[in-house]
Amino acid sequence: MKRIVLVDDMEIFNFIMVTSIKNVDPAFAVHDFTDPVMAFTALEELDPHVIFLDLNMPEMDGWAFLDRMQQKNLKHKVYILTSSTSELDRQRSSAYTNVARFLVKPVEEDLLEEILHENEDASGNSFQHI
Amino acid sequence: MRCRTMEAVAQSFQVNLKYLFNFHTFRASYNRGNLYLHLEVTAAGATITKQECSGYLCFEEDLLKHRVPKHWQNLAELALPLRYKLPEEEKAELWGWYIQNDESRDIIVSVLGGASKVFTRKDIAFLRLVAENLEAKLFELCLLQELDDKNSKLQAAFDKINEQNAVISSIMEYQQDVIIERTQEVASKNARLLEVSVLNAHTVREPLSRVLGLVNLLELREWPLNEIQESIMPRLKVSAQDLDEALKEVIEKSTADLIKLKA
Repeated sequence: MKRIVLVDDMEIFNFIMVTSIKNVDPAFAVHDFTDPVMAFTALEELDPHVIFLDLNMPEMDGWAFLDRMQQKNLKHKVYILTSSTSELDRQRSSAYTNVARFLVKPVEEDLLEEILHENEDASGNSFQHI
Repeated sequence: MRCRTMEAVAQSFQVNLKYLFNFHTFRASYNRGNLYLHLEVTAAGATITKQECSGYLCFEEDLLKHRVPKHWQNLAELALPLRYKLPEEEKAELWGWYIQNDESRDIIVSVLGGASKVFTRKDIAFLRLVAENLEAKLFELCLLQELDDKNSKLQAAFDKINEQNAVISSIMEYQQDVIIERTQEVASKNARLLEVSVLNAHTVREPLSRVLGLVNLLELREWPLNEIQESIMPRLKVSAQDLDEALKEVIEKSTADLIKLKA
């Protein structure tokens, strides 16, 4: 089944996302982190199909998280999930090839469902990363 | 003779008048409006005085009053100025005429003669001609002088206007600079205000998006009451409080920024 990683320093956002995702399909394996450093450490082992990443976090923000992924050549698909509607942030995020979309909180249920399903490709559940 | 100044006229009279008739002192007084001119020529020199008060000698007042030609042989009774005093043997004589061409112009001509400088009646026609021509010449010079004065006053006024124009131009230039500066100031203040408002919107939007997300969850499915009370309500409360805090902070900060920008 599809593996999903949530990175947001606010527990409430993770709670909202977990609840929403489980509502789409209770079988999704969701791993939520309020500490981006721990999330990054676990990234390779979890090998998620999708990452929902917040931008505005203390210690390590979303941009630093993306930069580290680039450095380690990790190409997991990232959805930026932020309460910022800033056009500058949106433009900046487009520079990362592994960023699929820029989402503004809260994400509507329909959109979330669409995103979760669009990652089910022809090879079924095995979503391989190079 | 083309004389351009009173001095030149006086000089010319001193040189030339003696060839027309004999005299010790030739004097002509003119009045036009409030302008009085007196020409006096002797062997020693010639003077022209120009003034705004009459300055007539006593016998001239007499001529002006009676308006008839006079010939004095006893000069002691006339209270003449000292320069009219001649040696006894000269047997001084004074001739005087009043000439009026029109109401506003008076001419008084007089000649002091004596044994060595005999003035005779046949000289009167010449004297009259000289006196009348002299009048025209002297007042022409007065007008020229007045014109010169007015020209130089005009030039002064013109210079003053130019000077003030330059001052006005420099003031306008300075104001232009001030306007540009103020406009830039306003533009930068506006940019700063916009920046502040964007920043504030983000601060507020974070807890608000949590509240919205939690409310969305409630609509997602049926929730047992105890789950709402345990999972949703505490998080909604915290988020609502955070939103309140954020708003308070934004209001405080915006007010401070506004005060700072107005200063």
